[in-house]
Amino acid sequence: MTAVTRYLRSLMLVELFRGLSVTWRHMVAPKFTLNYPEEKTPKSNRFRGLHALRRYPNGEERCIACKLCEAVCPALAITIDSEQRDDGTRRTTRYDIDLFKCIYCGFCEESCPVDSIVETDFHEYHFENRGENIVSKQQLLALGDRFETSIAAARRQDAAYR
Amino acid sequence: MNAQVQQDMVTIEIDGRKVEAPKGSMIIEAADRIGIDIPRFCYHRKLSIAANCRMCLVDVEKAPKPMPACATPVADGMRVFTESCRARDAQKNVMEFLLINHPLDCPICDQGGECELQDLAMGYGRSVSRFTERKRAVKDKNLGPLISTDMTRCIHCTRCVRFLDEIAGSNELGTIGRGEKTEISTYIEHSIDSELSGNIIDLCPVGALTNKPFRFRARSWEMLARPAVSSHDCLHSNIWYHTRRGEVLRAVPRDNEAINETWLSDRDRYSHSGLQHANRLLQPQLRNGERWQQTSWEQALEQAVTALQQAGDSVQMLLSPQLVCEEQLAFRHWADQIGAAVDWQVYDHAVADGDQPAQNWSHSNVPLAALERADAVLLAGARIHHDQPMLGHRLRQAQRRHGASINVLTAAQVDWYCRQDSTVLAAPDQWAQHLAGILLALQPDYAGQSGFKTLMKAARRGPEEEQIAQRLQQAERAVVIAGQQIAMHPQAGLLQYLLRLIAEASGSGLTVLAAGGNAAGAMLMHDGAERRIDAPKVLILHSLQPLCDTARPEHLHALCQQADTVIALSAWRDDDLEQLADIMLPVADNIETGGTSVNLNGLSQTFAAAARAPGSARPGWKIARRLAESMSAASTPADAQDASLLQWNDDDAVRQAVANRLQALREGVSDAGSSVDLQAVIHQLPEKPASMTLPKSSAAGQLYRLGELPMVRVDQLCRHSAALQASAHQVADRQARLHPDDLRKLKLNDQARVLISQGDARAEATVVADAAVASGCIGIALTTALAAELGAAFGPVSLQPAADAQQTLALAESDAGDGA
Amino acid sequence: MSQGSASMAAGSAAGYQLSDAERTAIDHWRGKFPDGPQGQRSAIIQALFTLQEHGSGWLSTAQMDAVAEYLQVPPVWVYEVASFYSMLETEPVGRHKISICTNISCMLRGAGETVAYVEQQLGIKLGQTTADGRVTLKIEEECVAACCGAPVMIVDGHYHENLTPARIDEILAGLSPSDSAATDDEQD
Repeated sequence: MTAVTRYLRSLMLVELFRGLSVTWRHMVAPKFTLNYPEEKTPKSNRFRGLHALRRYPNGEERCIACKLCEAVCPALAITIDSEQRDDGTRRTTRYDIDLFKCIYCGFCEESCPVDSIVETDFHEYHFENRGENIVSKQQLLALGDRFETSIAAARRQDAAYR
Repeated sequence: MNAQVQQDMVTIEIDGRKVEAPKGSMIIEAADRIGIDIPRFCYHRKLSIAANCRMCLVDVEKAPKPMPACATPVADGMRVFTESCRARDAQKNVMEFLLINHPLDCPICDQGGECELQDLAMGYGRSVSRFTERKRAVKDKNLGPLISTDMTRCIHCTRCVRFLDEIAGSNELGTIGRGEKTEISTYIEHSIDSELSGNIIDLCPVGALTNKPFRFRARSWEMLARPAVSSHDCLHSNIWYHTRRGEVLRAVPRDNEAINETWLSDRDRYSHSGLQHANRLLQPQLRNGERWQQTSWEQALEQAVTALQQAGDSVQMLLSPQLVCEEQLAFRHWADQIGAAVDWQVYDHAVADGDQPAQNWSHSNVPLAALERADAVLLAGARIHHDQPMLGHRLRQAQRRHGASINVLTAAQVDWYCRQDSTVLAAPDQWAQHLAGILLALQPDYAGQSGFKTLMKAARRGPEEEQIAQRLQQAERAVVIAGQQIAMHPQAGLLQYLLRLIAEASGSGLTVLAAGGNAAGAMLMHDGAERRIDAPKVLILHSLQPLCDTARPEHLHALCQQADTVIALSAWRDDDLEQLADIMLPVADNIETGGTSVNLNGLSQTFAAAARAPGSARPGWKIARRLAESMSAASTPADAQDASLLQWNDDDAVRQAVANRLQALREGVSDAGSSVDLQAVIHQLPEKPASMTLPKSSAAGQLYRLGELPMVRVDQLCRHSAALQASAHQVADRQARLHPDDLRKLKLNDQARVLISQGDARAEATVVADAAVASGCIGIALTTALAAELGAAFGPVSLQPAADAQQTLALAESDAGDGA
Repeated sequence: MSQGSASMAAGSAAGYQLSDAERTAIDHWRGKFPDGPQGQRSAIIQALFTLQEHGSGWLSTAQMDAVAEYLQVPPVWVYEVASFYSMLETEPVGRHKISICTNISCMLRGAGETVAYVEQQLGIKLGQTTADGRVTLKIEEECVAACCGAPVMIVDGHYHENLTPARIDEILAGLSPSDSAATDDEQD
């Protein structure tokens, strides 16, 4: 009996079709893979990507060179030099973030008393040359200008929990 | 004795711990001694008690309300609780009041991270303020280039006011207004010009007074504190240099009760900014005709060696007396190897004449701290608050606390910040006569003593001299101070000898002051070496500006011009070096090399480099060693001494060499062992000076020049410090100060342009009427462009209105034109 | 002298010479205090008061410097005193000084209205002087120790209690309008 059944099963390729059924089922099932970069996953408003320095609506940079981010940074990725600007305010002359060192913990953002240094939801960047991993103040401010809308929107969403 | 001590002590209990405290002392002092921390803002152990912040309220048993620990004297059996509910409540309430008007701008406040208010607010403050009304705002004051103000942050502890009143003595700040309108202010806006002004920055418990040159440059937590010793004067104040990435950003005092207590003079505090001056020499430079060419060390050293080998032993090395012992010893060894002459006594007026042995190093047989207990002081030729600010502070305390009489012999009055009991205002050529007068009043025998006869005949024994003599004799702890100007005087040997006799005759202590921070150390390193001053073929200058760092610019100028090659080791590119040198080698400053220095009490202090030398600058001893190596390879094999120089491979070896030398000197004196025993070596007094004749007085119509070394221009570092040069202590260039009577006699107006002639030198300047200057005397600041064109710091000069001079000049020029 | 006393020199550049009467008055007060700097300091209040009385009713910096020089104290000690006491004026003031108490008792009895009324009548605010230089309304007067007669105001050193608008009109009308009359009034 067993031998006959086994023979018939093997002749009819039952196991093969059973296995293929999984394949066929998945061929028609809805798919989750995204065609990155044409398609993108949605991100949390707390996503921690590339850094940026923000400005006030009047164009004045927010950063006041208090150096709390530099102090709190566990990876020592931030380097700040500061001095008195001609109008008497306290400003940075240098604000460098070494993206090789940065661990994207977000502490800099947490420590900032003026919401100046932020981590944007932008994470699609690369370097082609050594040295480009250090992002300067000008670059950070430019990033801030570029992503201000999304940064502001993300802060607004999260405002109730901060 | 013991019973007496017992009687004067009481036992109190603080937080359950028994502590003995002297009667009349305050609770806070006893608590501090046993390490119980009571919060405070206005209390400072060096200042009087104000008890106006109320932060130190503590609970005293049986007292009806909390008592301020800083103003409550201890009583026997007193029980104090600093942590009790009542004490904590009181302190928290006071904190809440203090924070009412204090802005919440810690992120932009320079004090943030080292703020007493911030620290205590963490312990005693509420997390959220209950104060919803408007905070007050106070206009900032402009207190000059050294101190920056944010007066809104002020909590009115009045430490700054008390400091300027009690310690500095300049009384420039006050509590203006009342109640909520109270402000700390000068009332009439002016800068704070005390030479100790920077200390109010350290005293300020909040960020109201901060360091202006340092403003917004760094945070306290990102800097490393490196201990160092100042070398601008002979006291060697202890300093912490705060550095970041090898760069000195600011200086704060390092406590040393024996020297600077907890203070620092502005010169010591702000000089370091010269290290970052744009004119720093970063690479070796070679002269190429009129131009300078940057070169490599190899090439520069090769050139130097060639020049030195051609010169043979006709080599003269001139070292700044401010350099640390390591540098002095290295050049000493090298000079011995090549048979060169070394001199460091650049402020010696007799550098060319060699007739008067003077002491160009500072020494004192009175410990600095003991000066504070002096009861009579004779200051001769000493602008004490300018030349040695911390010493001036000690003398002021001597008068404030012990009523010391301060007696002055000077050619120009300055602000002494204390009461002058007797003042002899005389031109420098008269100083010997006045000192002789004092000596005669002390010891009439000298009148007939051989060698003294001429001098004593000319002695001026007026009522002031009599009084000074009397005060010195009657005082128990009198001190005679021979100032820096005495050491630069052409008759320094005689004047110092007279002052020593005065000190001996009156049983006073003797302090001899000289320019050049480490002059005592230099003297010890070069001890026994013969001074030889002739025109060398190669002149080596180490950390010296030939027209500034000398009492005789014209002499050094001539030496530089006569020499075939002038090799300048300098940290900065200065005009006179560019003009006179042939090879410039970048050296590191004292702060960047570290080293050992010896102060006037013979205390040797060693410190490590606090900053990194910029560019390819190297310590001078490394350059000396390298040159010695090159030369010994080419010439004769090294003897024992140069071998030691060649073994100097690192800082440790150099330090050890200096330590050994100092140890050897210590063993030479009887009470070896302690660190201050070098005093006996330093205190080598010259025997009677070679000549006891009076100095050449100025002829009729002539004036006697007084060379004043400006406080903020004593060395290269100070001269390159932008903050110091912007301060009120900066002197106007091309200016000569005269007594109004002299101006009248010369028929000159105030602010008139004149031509000053000194010997063969001539220079144009503006005369300024100044009643502070003795008549017959003309005050011309050293280190200025005017001084560089003139001759020696002291000596007769004549004046001529510039208009006449110009006419003569124009005539001469037109003659020349006709000739062409 | 230099540095510390630079301010002194700058202040007295305007130059105020103490009159003999002023010197005598200061000397009189100076004699009442012990010798030494603290005694000299004690005489500052009376010296300043003398100068204010003898002069134009307020103290210029030059006058304060003159006092400092005469008493041999640092000028800032004098500035401290002059700016502390409300009866010492450091700004030009009118010929008559009106101070209205606004402390608690007076406040409860309507000092607010009193101030408003006086301000309206004189056409000036607290701390200001009328255009003709007749009256100065002093700012922030604290309790003058006459609570039983609240609300109170002090006019040229005379207390006026239980103020009503009518009473205020009467007092203000009594203030001399012209310069000469004011002098007469003060002499009375």
